[in-house]
Amino acid sequence: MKLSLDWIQTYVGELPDDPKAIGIKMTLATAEIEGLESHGSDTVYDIDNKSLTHRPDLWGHYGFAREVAAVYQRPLQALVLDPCESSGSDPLQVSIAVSENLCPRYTGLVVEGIQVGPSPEWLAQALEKVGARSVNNIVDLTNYVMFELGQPMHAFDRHKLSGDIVVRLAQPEEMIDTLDGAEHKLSEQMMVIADAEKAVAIAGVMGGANSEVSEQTTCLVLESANFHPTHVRRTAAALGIRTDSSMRFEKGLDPSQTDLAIQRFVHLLKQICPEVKVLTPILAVGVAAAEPILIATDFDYINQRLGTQLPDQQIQGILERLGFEITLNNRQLTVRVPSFRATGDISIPMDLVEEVGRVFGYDNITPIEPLIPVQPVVTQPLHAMQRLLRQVLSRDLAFVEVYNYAFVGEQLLQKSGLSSEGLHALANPLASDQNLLRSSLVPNMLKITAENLRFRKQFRLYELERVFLPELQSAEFEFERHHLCGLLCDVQWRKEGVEDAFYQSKGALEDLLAQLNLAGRLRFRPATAAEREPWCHPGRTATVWIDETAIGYLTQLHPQIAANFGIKAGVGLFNLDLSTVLTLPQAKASFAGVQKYPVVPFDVAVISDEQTLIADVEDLIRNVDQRVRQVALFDLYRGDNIGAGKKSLAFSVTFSAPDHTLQPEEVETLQNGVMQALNAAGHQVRDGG
Amino acid sequence: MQEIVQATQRRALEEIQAASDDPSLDAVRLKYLGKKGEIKGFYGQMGQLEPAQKAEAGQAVNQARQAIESALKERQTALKANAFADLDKREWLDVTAPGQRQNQGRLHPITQIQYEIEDIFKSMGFQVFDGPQLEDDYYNFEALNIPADHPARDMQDTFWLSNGRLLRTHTSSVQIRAMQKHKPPFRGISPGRVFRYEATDASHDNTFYQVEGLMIDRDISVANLIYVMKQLLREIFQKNVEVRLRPGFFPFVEPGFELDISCLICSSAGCPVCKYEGWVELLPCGAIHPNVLRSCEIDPDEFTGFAFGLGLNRLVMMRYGIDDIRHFQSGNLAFLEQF
Repeated sequence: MKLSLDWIQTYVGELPDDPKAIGIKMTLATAEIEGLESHGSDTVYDIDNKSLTHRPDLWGHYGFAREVAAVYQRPLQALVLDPCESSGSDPLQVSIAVSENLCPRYTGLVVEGIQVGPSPEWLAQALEKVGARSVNNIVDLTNYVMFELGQPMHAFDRHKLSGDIVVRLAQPEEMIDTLDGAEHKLSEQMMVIADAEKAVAIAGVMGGANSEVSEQTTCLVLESANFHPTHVRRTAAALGIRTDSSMRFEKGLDPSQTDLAIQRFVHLLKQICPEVKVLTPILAVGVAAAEPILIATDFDYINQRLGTQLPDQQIQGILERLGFEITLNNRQLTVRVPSFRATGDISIPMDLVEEVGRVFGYDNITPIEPLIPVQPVVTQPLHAMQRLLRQVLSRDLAFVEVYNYAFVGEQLLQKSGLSSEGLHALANPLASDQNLLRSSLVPNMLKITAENLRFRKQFRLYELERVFLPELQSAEFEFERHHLCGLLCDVQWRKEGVEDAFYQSKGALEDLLAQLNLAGRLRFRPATAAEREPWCHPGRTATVWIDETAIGYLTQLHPQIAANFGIKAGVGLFNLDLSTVLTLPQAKASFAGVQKYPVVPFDVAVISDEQTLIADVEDLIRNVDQRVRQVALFDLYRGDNIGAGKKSLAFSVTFSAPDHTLQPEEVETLQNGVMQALNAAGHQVRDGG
Repeated sequence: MQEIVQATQRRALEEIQAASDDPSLDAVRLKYLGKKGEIKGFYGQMGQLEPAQKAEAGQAVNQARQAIESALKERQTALKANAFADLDKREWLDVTAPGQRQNQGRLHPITQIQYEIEDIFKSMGFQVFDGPQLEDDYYNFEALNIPADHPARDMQDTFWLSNGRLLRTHTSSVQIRAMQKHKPPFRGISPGRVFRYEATDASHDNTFYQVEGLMIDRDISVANLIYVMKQLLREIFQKNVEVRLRPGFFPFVEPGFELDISCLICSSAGCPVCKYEGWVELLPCGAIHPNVLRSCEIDPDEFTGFAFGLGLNRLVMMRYGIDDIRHFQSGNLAFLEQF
């Protein structure tokens, strides 16, 4: 919104500062002045509309001048008004046929003796400075009063109206041509001003062409009304027209200023058209004035909340200059809120604290250290785990952290092999590729993998964020789980048969999980078909278990899904449900003692079926005896000499006891035990084992 | 005989000096001190001598042996010391050739600044709180004193779900949950991802990150708020920054402020970043509205507090001079590897 400094100074006199300094002062006390430009000898300020959303009183020069007067401690000139005494007669009546809530007040006046023509220079110039186009003297004057008082006005050609004026809801699909030349179809939620036959204006938004003031107009009906802010905003939004008028009504104008605007208009009109004759008294319907708001507070409260020690006099002075009326009773204040601040802006003592603080100047308040209790800061387990994971991934394991959108679209899901069924859908998506909330981190990861492959041959990425679940969860956040997705990619892994995508991902995941210090034992088991996501390779997917709890999966990307995304590289990925991991117990801090008695090594090799799981053979050996300490695969061999469909597995095993040195015969028993167990399970122990 | 011994000794010492490496020195040792060496030979010859001569000759031979032995030792040490004399030439490397490095991982720049800010607040006794991103109307609006017909509740600003829920537009919702859960006095922050219904361009994204915080205690004043914000900003920017407070309107605070900082790019001299005003809008804040306290069952007559919000995207953009907010969600390694 634009404000002319000269215009403001007509109410407060010439100010002692230069225009820039005035702008800064008002920014700090009232509303942000975003810019200023010279207009001849005048300066025009551009106020950030966002800083005025709660201040309907500042949408005109006079209201802003009141603030300037308070800041500069000057008197504010009173407005000259016309008494609007009727000296003729016109039968026009106005009425409101909507709830009081939608149209609290409507005032009208009929005047004749109008000569429509170009505006006088002062008027045209004043409008031009604040960015309004000059139309003719009458339209310009309605705008002038709006820019002065913040109260939108409208003038109808009296002779184009038939019958009385009524404020009513529009009929379904009622049509109206507005002043901007557009045609609008209205809905029955919208409010119009109508005569006996037709709608002549969209309430608070724009007048109709059918009652427009023209050069032939000699008699006017003036309108100055008050409409419900949200109603006007929604109507304007629905019709796609936002006007100076609707913008002001949206803020919630003071209903008692409608009469004031008419009186001011007539005063100015008489200067332009001296022949003007008022034909009716002010035709007013609706509430005259709302019950005043009284706030009880005291000086100490205001000082305490601000952290200041302002004298009573100063506090009282600030409030009074802003238009508040104060009754004092032994340092207790009863503050009467002026009607122009009483439409939602000011109602409680804290609101008065703000008034005093801003006019005194927040920069004049000395910062004070708060006195605070000593309380230890407790780090939530989730946050500790997230930090640890990020640290290990980004620092130790050379992963790059990425952030992806929470949204997915039909196309991305299709490429990933997922259905959109059950996903949370946005009621108002911005784009069709962002209309659903993701239930997995993976699709977005695959998308950016394809994008990055245009420039890179290998990389490791991860994202740590929440996913949104279709069904309600009993967990802390009803629809959300914390997930971690890690992805490893290398063009050299692309060839069929290359196993690095899987095993490098597995190694990274094992290194990562080792850092979490979980009490349970980590196990990888082949994922069942039901456990596999669409992007999981059917032969290369493991479910990740900690004891009996599944915490996620590890997989190589399915070649079909890779092809869908145009990914020409081998990709391994893992996905963990951190919300589940968080429920698992941590390993207790303990010390196992230094091994006192010698460790006896033993190597054993078996020939097994190709599909035999190494982990199963390891478990078999481990379970032979408590004195079996470590079991580790050190060689894997396939070849003609052991037959097709077979593999040779060699393990290095160690034996030891915590309380004595193993005797040779004891070791032999253990060795035999291991070999027997292996043979019994169908694994053929190789010679020399 | 003594003369022969002395001549042998001289010859031996010359040969020792001439030996240029360990094998030739060993040959000399063998020649004189070996089992069939010349010195051994002298001992054999001594049996034929008279006893008186024998003693003299013995002494001479012993002397010669000792002299040869110590010369050998000396020469060996000298040779050892010389062994690495030309190492610089033998094993020369181009030290400017590239090193063999491990790949580097990265934290997202927003994670980095978020952790930095969390640590600053933790050091001042603030807890870190968490809450859902999928919120309901109550926590996102109603409890925050945002009335039912407020524009923010319209479709223009907020992503709504078909089930009536919404994507949180700020982490203030988390503050409400925290205030309901913890008895005052307390102080905490809630970092996280928030969403706005907004078309994306270089300076707007529908997804961004913020840290909101609050402090509730008896008699918390605007003066306290200014103090804490100044401390915070000094820690973030690692220097004293000028701040100014001006009125700002947010339904959940009263009074509400916009906190500006002196432009760090131009030191307030005026530049495009601060629109030649010398100030940059950074941090909305204010005293927590009594209605908000009440909705969390905190008595506004007993407790007061302040709240503030800090946009993390903006902080990162300021710090690194990033000109397009869309980089953050791009997943583009060319961007991410710079931090």
